[in-house]
Amino acid sequence: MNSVVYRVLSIVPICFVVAVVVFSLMQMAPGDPAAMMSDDFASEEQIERVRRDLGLDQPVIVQFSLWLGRVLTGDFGSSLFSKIPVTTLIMQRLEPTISLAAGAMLVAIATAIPLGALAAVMSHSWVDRLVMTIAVLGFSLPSFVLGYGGVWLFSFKLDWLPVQGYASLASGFEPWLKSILLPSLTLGLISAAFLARVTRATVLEVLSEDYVRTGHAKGLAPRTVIVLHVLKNAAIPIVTVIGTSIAGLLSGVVIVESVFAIPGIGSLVIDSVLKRDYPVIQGVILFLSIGYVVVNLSIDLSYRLFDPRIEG
Amino acid sequence: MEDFFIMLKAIAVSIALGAAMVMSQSTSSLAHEKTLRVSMLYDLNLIDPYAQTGYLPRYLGFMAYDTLFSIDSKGNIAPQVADSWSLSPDKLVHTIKIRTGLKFHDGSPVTAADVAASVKRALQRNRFIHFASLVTSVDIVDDQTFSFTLSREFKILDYLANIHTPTFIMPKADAELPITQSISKVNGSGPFIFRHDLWKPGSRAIFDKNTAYSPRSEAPDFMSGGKHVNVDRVEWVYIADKRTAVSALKKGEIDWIVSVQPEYIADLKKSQGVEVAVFDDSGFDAVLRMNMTQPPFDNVKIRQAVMATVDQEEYLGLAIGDPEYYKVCASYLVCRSPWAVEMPGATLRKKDLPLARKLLKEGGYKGEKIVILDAQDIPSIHQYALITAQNLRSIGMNVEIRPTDQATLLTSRARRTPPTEGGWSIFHAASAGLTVDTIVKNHYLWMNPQRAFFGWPDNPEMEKLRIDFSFATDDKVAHEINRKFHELAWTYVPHIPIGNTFEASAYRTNIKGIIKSEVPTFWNLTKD
Amino acid sequence: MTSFAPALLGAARSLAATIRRHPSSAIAAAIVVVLILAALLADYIAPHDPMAISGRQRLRPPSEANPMGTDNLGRDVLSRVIHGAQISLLVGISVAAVSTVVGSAIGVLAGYSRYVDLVVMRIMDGLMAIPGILLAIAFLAMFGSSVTSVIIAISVPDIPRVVRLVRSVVLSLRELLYVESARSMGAGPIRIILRHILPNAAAPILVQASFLCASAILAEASLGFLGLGTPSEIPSWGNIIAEGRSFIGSAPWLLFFPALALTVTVLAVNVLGDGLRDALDPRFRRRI
Repeated sequence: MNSVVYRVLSIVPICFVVAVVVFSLMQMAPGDPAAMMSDDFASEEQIERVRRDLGLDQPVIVQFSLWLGRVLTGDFGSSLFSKIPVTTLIMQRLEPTISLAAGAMLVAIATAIPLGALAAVMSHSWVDRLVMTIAVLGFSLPSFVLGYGGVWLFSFKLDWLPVQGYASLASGFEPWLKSILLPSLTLGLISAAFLARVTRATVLEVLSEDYVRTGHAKGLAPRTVIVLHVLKNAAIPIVTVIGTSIAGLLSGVVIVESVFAIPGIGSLVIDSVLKRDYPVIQGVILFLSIGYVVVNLSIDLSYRLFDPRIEG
Repeated sequence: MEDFFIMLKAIAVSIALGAAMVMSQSTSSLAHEKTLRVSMLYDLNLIDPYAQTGYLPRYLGFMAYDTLFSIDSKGNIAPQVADSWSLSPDKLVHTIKIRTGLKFHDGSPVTAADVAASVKRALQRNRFIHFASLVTSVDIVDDQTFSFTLSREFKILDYLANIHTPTFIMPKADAELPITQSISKVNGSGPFIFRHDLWKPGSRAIFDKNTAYSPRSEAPDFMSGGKHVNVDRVEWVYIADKRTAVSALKKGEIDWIVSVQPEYIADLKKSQGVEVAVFDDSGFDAVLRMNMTQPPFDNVKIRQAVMATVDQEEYLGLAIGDPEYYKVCASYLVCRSPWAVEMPGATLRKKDLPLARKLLKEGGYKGEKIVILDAQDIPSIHQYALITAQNLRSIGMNVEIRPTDQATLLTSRARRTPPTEGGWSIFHAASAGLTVDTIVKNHYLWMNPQRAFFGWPDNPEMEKLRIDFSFATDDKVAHEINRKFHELAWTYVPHIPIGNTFEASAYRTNIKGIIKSEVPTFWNLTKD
Repeated sequence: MTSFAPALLGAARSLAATIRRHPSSAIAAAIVVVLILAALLADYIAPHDPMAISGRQRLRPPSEANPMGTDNLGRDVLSRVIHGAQISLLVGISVAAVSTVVGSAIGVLAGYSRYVDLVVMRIMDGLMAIPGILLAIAFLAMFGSSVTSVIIAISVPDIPRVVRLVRSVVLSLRELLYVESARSMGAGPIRIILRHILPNAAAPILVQASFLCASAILAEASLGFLGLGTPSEIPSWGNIIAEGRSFIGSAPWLLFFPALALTVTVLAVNVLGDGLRDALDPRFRRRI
């Protein structure tokens, strides 16, 4: 149990590092939000006044501790431009991004795990080679090329799906699904390529272990052996990879949101970087990083709590 | 047991999704049968109608606020909130009576006190000249009438009615906020209500029809006349990837792209159900601006040398392509302006590289480094930068392109240090034609280095002509001053005109009755 | 002299055998060699100046004079794609080198000293928690766009991954007999690292580096796509694609050729990485 407490506490320094990195990056960036907010004809003094109002004239360390103090109380500040609280902006963007990430994850798991396992069982056959070739191709393709290709095929040639935008679940399940399908496929197939390779490797490893051979010796049919023993034992490494690949998935989200004009967290970051909207950039990156840490921590902890074989 | 973890994860994901669903506000647009979805070039991120970063706050102003005066398609002043107005015999006191029965979006009546306060704010925001100091008093006569007194005669109504810093009518409390403080809640007087609660910066802004608005009885004409709204809701969507916006229009997922970038025009012209048009006849005035406080461009000869390398057709043909959307304009004012005077000879219409080299030699160019600021996120501006670099290199200048984005360019161009120490030599820009159609308004022609626009020209003689022009009440005198100013500009070269470009607008053919105007208007039009 | 010819023959024979056994790796290697040559000789083999703007040549479809057509500023796309190989390979190889060298140094230290490990791994965990592309975007905002800052921006998020790999290899090697015995014979830590640990860790590090190279080439293109990559004056594949996508409807060759070059390159490097892994260390065959 102590190790659990230790693990939970260990996310504190991680989050602190993230906070420091994010804050210092933004401080060093050129481009002045005060000048961007003032009009073209603002004098030096007017810009200076805006800067003072924003607290940008204070020493960096003071700005950092003020910011950190507020963040600890859950106050991420407000956009310099729209004056809308960062938490509200994130909440507005959460649903599209979660839908996209979850959809992509679902696509990846549904295609990669069966195909990866199949490739492992039939290793060195043509099936294996085909699956692995597609997998290599999958993570060699830029996601925007795949995205544009999908739009051309499914939206223009076949006229099945919309080319862009996001329909919230509140507007009905069908419009939501249609709006999210193509982006999820684009992002999901790229993640699937990686996951399929992991699955294949893990299953191959498990297949060579003793108890599987024992299963064979006991006379169980090969299919039963795979389903019962192999996938069960391959699950932990696979789930771990899924957890760590969430960060990579989020990188993909940024591009795919841009291709499909989905108003999610990724496009929020790009917009704010271009405008130097510091509180928003800081808040979103911090939020995403903490989300990533927490997801992985819970995956990690769940092994420890339920599987005595894993020790802290 | 391990299956349990997978299930756990699945459950966690569904809980998160469910929570997100509950949290997301219901922005269902199904209830609104007539929703017009419009893709804007930029994102609405400030809602003070006088905010001058980008054009969208002003467009919002025209939707959510009514104006005191406006102009029609012939440039005449037309009343909007004003009902009637008169001028005292000494031409110093203007008395204005406003229409009765007008209401703000919160239901409170529009009174003379609100309008007077709005006029004061508009004058303070007016950037052309410090007009606010010429208004000695503003007096409320009664609930519907107010007057203001000038210290000397000038055409103040022209400036109150102009569509660049119009007089948006807002409640007194908002209008009296300190001028540096921006308005954070839109309580307007116009035909549309801005839905602050549904606003998603970076994604969309929503305007509902203001059913309590009473349009004027005149027919709509440019920015004046009755603003009848025939849709229930207007949704401004911001699609950062312009390619995606074009696809969405072709599929009918959006109804109108207000500004189509040149590279998409050919594609859209071929598309069924899509119409491509130009709604703003004044266009944009593109310029090449030099830093006149640093060598080598502190030297007039070298500025003239750069001018000799410019062939407007080359810039416009490459950046815009389709000749329908640009016009060679060898004038210091946008060519549609009645005040434009075209340069004699072939200057700006044809390169004269031998002359350029000769001027460079006469100017004693010593190989100083030329730094061109290149805003890569704005395609046309980026292309102008590449063309200028190639031209200057061809006459033997030492050119460095400094890549940047618009956000950084706005701060870097304010730097007065030498180009080798973080300063700059050249940037390119384009201004909306109506904002630069006189020598008073065109900020590139302000000649007092203390108050001038970035690049800081210094020419007292030209500055005096500008001020004389602003007070000239006789048209003949004004034209004379204007011509003299232009002639001086041809040799002084405060900037180099690159030509006029016209923004294409593309919309679905079921949208009818879009008013031709520089500002996109959403009244009058219908959607079948 | 006499023994030289048979040796050469023997080498050629074993090369032929390798090609027969691993045809895909051989093809990938050939592609990579051609690309490197094209990049090195770009100035000589490109038919035109990749930056020369010409109003008369605007948006020409592929022809004999311009096999891949011309772009909206009349520049020759083939020449731009050839010069683009320079940037893409430069970015790919530099990122692989920078993140591998820096990551290995940190990883070895972390694997060797518990105190360093404690601090360094927390920082690495923190860096890993930030989605890579966001970190890269933030870096580019800070340094401004240049090839160097793109390389740094892509390398930084990759470093923690190398650190983790190297650290785990070092940890497992430390306990091995020959390291133990070297230590008991009084060898200093630096000597042990250089003599015993690094050579044994080289195979997985090299394999990892080849994948980092492939993903860096993709990342450069993605940043270019978002308009945040190398200065757009430079004809990198990301920039050519970003500019070309506007013309999909009217001039599809602007997008097609650079996207093809990009995909083939990344594919070749990835396949080569796979081959390298199989050849260098069969034990790593099972890992990803």
